[in-house]
Amino acid sequence: MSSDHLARAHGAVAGGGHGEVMAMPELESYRDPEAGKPRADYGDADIYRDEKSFNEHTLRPMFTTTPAYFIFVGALALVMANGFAWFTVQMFVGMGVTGLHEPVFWGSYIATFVFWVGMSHSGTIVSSILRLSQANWRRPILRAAEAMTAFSLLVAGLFPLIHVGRQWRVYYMFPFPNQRMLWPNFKSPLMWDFCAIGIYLTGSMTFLYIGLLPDLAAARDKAIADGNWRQHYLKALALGWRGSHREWAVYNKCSLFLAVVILCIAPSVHTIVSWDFAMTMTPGWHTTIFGPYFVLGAIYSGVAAVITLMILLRWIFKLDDVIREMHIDCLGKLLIVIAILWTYFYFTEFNVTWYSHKPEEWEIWEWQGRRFPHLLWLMVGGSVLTIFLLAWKDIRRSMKAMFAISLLVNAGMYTERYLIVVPVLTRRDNAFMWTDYFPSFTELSVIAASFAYFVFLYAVFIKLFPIVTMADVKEGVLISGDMRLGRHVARVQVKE
Amino acid sequence: MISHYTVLGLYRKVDTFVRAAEQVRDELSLGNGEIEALTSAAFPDGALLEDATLAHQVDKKQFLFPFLLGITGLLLGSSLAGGTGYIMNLDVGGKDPFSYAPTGIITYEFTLLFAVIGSVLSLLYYTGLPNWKQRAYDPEITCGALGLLIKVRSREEQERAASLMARLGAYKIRKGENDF
Repeated sequence: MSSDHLARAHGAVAGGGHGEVMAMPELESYRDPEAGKPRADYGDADIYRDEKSFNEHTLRPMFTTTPAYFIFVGALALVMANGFAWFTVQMFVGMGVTGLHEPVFWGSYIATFVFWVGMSHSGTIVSSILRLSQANWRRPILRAAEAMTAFSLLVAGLFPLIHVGRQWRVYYMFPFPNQRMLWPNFKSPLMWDFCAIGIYLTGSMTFLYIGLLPDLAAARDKAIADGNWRQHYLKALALGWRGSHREWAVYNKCSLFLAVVILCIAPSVHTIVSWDFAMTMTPGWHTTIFGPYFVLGAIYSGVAAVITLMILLRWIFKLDDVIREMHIDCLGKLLIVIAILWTYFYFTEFNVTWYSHKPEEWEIWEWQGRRFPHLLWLMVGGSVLTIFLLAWKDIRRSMKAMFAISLLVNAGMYTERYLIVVPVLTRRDNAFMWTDYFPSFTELSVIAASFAYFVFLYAVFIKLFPIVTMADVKEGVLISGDMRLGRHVARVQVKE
Repeated sequence: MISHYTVLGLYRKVDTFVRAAEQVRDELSLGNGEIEALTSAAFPDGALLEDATLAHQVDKKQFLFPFLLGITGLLLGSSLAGGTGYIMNLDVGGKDPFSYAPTGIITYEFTLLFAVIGSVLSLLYYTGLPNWKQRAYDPEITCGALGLLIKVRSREEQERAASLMARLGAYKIRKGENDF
């Protein structure tokens, strides 16, 4: 992108004078390349370009593909193929090829399932909250976050199937009459999971697609102008969108309403996942705090994953001027709040068990400390360290530091899920049944494949759809302006 | 059979657009539903066209679809989960076949699912999408141009509107038939 394309947008201060509060600048000053020069100190400016070059710039990840992309996707395909091969072995041989054994019938598959469901939470929840609260910094990150939700759920949905075995009988879960008069048992938390995840996936996909509509139209126009093959599906998926006043009015209302509905669905999903554990009478799981604790943990890992993805998008596709330091800074602040809440919940749970010292529950905590001290340190230490580090603005604005912190948080949160599932079962019931568990190579291959599958879906999505929420960014620019306040020029935003 | 003629004028500046829209509306006596703004981003209601009636009309009715479908989901979810208990009764120690917690959970989820479906249907219904027919449009709109689209009844009015728009600062004019 040459410097000629930079729209000189942000020097336009309406009027001037001694401390008087001036009127908003004319909106079109942002469209006029001659209006002024970009101000280097404006960390929160979302766009410095005219719209055509902004479209070109943000659609570049979609329309430009290098050989490195194909090599990367090929490597992901290999990891996925390896996982699928081992999964096929598991289907033919049986669950004995995993590390699961009596009484540890839930292991790393379930931990990974909880992890992926958790990852899916931040995308849509954060997107919904930021939409509803009209937070201006939300704009460039919405699409990437919403896509993360959809793909995490697609991956998460596979794990109950992988875990239960006899996958060819999955249709038993569907409520339709069959020869053997089998019908789903809605009293089983597994059915609640099935419904909640299916419905959340439908809602998230819908939310993602509705948010895409205006940007699909922009991509469609570019594809048609370039004679690109993508025009065929983009024409169909854009539904004939042309950005009329009526379309925008209905679209905005629909987006807000969907945000509210999704905000109701998302916490229910992870609460139901937590009830898979809490509804059992197993010590260590049977606790009322599990619902909110799981939801908070999900948002925690999800926000960290959004940060990871944003930084990767910045680095790989050179979107530094769209996904700015300010956005990562704001996500960092959000992460501090959630990290503090999560740590508070964790210590609340620990504190109650420690104080009551019920033997069957205390044994599990002690066993965690003896058997998995490194994992425990990674989880708790990672969280405390995150809170400590994120308190510094310089760290929140350092991409390398934020990338490392976001990975640390998610490593800790994966560990947390493992520590919820495994120690409880290895120290369950009578002492003569106590045992140990370690995931087998089959499980590790399938889990690695799930991570590759997620990245693969994301990589393919980037090549087929706009990854930046273009219409939202443009709207943000339209309703923002400069205002002189005493000796300062401040960024202001129109809100109704 | 030509039922109406259209003119689409493209503008670069908001103020120019707003002045043009007001004058074109007044001079051609255009009513609600005969003038439209095409933009690449959502402008606040009333920023481009003074006619916010359309948005308000839509406001009231748009939530009817998700509301009605939400109720449908509620009935379906409660029937599915609650009814299963009665029809496929498993006798577990004389407990009531109806179980409140699972029925509540499934009902809640189904209500929200159908509300999502309802809101998508309302979007499609009130925007008139999908509409893949050739309609008045210009790709420059997604590149930041502001499109003023009007509908008139005769070719004479179309010519008049086109020259009026050009005089009022439109840098590009497109004329069409039956494509509002």
